[in-house]
Amino acid sequence: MGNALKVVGNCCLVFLAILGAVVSLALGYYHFFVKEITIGVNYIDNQVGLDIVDIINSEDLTEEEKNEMQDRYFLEVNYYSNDNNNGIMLQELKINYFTDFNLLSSGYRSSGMQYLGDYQGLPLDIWDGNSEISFMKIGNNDRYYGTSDECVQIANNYVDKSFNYYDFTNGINWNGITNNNGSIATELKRTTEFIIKIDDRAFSIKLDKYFDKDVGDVRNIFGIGWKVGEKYNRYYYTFGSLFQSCMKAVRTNSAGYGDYYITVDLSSLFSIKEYDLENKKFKEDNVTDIIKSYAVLKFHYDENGARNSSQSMFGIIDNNSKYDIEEETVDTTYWQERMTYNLDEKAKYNGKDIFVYRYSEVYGGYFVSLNLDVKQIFQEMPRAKVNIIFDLNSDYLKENNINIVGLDYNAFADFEIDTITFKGENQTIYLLDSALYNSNLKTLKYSAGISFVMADNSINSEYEEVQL
Amino acid sequence: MKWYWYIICVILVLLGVFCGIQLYREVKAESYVNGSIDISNKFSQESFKYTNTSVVFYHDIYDETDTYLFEADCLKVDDFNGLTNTYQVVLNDYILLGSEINAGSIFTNVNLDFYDTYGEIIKSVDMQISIKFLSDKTQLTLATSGNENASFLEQYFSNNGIRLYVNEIL
Repeated sequence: MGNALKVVGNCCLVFLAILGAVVSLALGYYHFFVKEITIGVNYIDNQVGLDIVDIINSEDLTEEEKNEMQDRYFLEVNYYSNDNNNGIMLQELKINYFTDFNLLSSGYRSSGMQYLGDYQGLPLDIWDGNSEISFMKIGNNDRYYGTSDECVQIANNYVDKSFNYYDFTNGINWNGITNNNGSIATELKRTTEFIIKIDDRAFSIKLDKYFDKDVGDVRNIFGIGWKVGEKYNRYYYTFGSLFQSCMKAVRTNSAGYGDYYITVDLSSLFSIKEYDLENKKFKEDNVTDIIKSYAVLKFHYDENGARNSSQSMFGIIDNNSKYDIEEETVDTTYWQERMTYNLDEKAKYNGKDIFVYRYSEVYGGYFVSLNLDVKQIFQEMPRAKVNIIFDLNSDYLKENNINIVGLDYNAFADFEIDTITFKGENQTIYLLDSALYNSNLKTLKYSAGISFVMADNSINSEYEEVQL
Repeated sequence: MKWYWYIICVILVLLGVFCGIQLYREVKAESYVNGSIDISNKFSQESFKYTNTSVVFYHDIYDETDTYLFEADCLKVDDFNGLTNTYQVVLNDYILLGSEINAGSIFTNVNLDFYDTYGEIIKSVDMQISIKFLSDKTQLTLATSGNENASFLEQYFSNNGIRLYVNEIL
């Protein structure tokens, strides 16, 4: 009985082993003779949160606010070339991503790097010489340098110190890189994995690619050399490589200076993994033969040099938010600004006079008032400061046969005026009821020969009189 | 069976399992496209619009007029014609009255008063805006005189951004 079971067990094992061998052969056959190439393409478009779509559709937002919220691309470049030689050359790269796979605006985060000058970096080369020879392939003598665990660790932890690094959270940019003493910022190195949105799904993206360059295995005797095998050195791409490539792309764009979008191929730099909602894991695609990843790069390319920190996409230059190449800066502290309007008889709005004239036979002249449309417009510009100037002898009024005798009923009522000026010769100006009521007039200027006759309630503010 | 045959069999079985999974994945593998890219660069615009978060004025050291300039090349504007159409210039929600509108250009002046916390004017700044609608681009120039004026304007635009529009009145 025992032997019978053993025989059956052995038979099963042998059967399974044969099956395993057949499957292995089938895989080999399929892989090398049957399989057709599969290509995967990832398009990395706008990185706005999934919740922002509803907000953008809201009617409460202006078009400008909508545009600001809509524009969030994975890669953004700000490049001040200083071709006009009026500042410093400034190169900046920002990466916009999410902190979690929910892809909501609450998970927004951006990290970026800044270089003052023209960055001339190269892929990271960690040559470990003959001490770290590793035979990567079976059956030939190809040798790869820079592949040891130690080299990989160096490459993965490499952060180029020639850059300033900034993070962006909650509307504020800051630098939290503290080199050897730990960091509270996102370090842009090969092990850094970002979460991005593709097709409204979460993916992770990591800059972990490299390339191998044949450095030749040459023997040399008495000056005569010959190649005896393949010898490679492994070059690791870093964020400096990405930075340099992006800057070159911007510098060589055919449209020249301005704000544009291009689509860049990130396949040789980044690996992408899709988030599996069921298993809650990012799954690697090691079946597809060719994976291409394209991303939108939004850039600003300027012929000027950067002069102060407001031109940086981080609002900071060289870790200084007050950066300015001018040595002596002006104290520009102020409370409020007001746009000053000096309206005279020639002023027009949409091609029409802003003042309306009504002829009075009793007074033998015209009473002036403000066009109601203009009044309405100024009420929508609360910081506007309006000065009104009437030159009673102006050519414009003469040509149009308008002799102004005063301000009409409600002419400027409920309309804020800072200063009103009457220029002319001996003349009486009549201010009819409510002409300047609630105008908050501060100054009344007039020529020496001008006098005023004011209705009792023509004006209700205290003002200063100035004779010209 | 010898003991090493067991080991070989187990290895073959494990190899078969691994290869089976890989074979399944390779057979099932299909080409795919994730997402799409929807961008288009604009090389012209229907009406003039310039927006930015800041403005920086530059002074040419060889210029003796103490003029500080901000210049920007913007997209070409389709069909601007100041002779036949009526336009309105708007800067940061302020409608600029008194603009000189020519066939292919606009010139306008603005005056900004800056107040301190006591309500007193500490700086009054004039700025000239020039917009030239050329055949291949639009040239925008903001000009003021003196470093102080330029600094106050830079501060203003840093606080408020710049939103400059030229709208056709229909």
